[in-house]
Amino acid sequence: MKLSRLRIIHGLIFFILTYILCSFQTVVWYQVFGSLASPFLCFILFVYFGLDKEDWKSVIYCYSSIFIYSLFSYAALGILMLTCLFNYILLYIVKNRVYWPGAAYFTLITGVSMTLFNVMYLVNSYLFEPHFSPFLIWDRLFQILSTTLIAYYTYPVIKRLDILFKPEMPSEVHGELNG
Amino acid sequence: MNFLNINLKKLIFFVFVLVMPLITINMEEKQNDSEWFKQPFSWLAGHFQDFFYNYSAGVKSTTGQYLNLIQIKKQNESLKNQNQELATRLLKFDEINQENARLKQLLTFRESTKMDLLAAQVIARDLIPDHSTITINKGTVDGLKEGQAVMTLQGALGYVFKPLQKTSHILLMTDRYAVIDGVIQRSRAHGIVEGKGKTGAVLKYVERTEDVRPGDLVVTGGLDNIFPKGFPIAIVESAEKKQISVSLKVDLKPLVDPDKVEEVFVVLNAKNQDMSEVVVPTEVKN
Repeated sequence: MKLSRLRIIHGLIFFILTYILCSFQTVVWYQVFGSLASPFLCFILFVYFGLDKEDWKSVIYCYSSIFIYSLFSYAALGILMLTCLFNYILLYIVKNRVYWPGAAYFTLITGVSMTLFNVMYLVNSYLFEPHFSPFLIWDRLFQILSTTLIAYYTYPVIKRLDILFKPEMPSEVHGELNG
Repeated sequence: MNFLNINLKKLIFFVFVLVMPLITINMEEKQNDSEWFKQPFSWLAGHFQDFFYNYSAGVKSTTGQYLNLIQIKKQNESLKNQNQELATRLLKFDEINQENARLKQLLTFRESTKMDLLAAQVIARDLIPDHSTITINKGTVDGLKEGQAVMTLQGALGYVFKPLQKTSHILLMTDRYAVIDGVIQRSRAHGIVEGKGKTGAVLKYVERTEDVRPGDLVVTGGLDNIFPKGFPIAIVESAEKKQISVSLKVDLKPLVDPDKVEEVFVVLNAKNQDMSEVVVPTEVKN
């Protein structure tokens, strides 16, 4: 199979995974836990792509995931984009300065990103929306903590999925040619 | 001197061995005569027997209890499973009963009005917690359009803002972007109901001179072309006259708790019905 086709399949799988996580968060969590604030599951994928992928891939994924978020929410697409842009910049700066592979690092960055997401959402809402967002401090706090906690356990699963569908061409044997 | 070359020790031993049974037989024949020296040994034997009897009885009883415990444990496990199954069934039964009662109420309401209503179930919530929206399991294939009113038996809930093919997103009246035309039922003071977060709302643009008191019922005014006129929305929590404002600051408590809604009605066609004749909210009745 061509490399470009493998890349598209890889992207599609994560695109579908974002859909699945958004649906799980809005439907299953609500059916089970009612009005309790849900963890922002799909944001974990956002952080993963922001940290682990090359710049062009992460930009494409991050913007397409924001588009998916807007399908599941009344939140304005512009506000979501601006908020996620700040997050992306944070991830970009952090990964170029401090990076070590592993679940602990990923969890730490997810926690920081989630906090920044909520703060920037409030700031953007205050600056650009006619009716700005309520603080809902406990809901936000719970969401940050639960997402961070879940990130630790989902990281190996996402990593495995990523490796499983990694767009790679079968490597050629150079032994005979070189030898 | 040993003329016959006999081992004397061996001989004495053999004689003793042979004589012992004879002596014993002789003693048994005259039991009563020799009781005095038997007594301590009998006493000792009795105690030994008693000790061993008690010991074996104890072991037997413990083993019995242990075996019994295993049996009891098995029975307990089985009874626990049965109990759990029955509890689950009972829970399910209660849930079905409650759902049945709710659906009966919905049916009665539907029959008592001339509006075209479509019953739907709430299936999801908003992805971002600061927006109050829900998703219902009916869409454009069921005749839903943007701007149709969504309500429950207790009162107005919101309106359709994004109908999809099989599902629709509903903007609840508690969302900060939701606006509904509202009227104080008692004094007919007019205003606009706006959401202000998760569970609250405010009535805006009510003139300072209007008579608004806590406990007043706010009903739909019908001018927004979304809700039929006279449908209950909320109760006035507080009404405040601010010095520099031309209008009253009226805080509202919605009659419907958006977190507890499971079934809703979508108004497909209101047919100009005045709902104040049909519906009186339970809180106000009491």
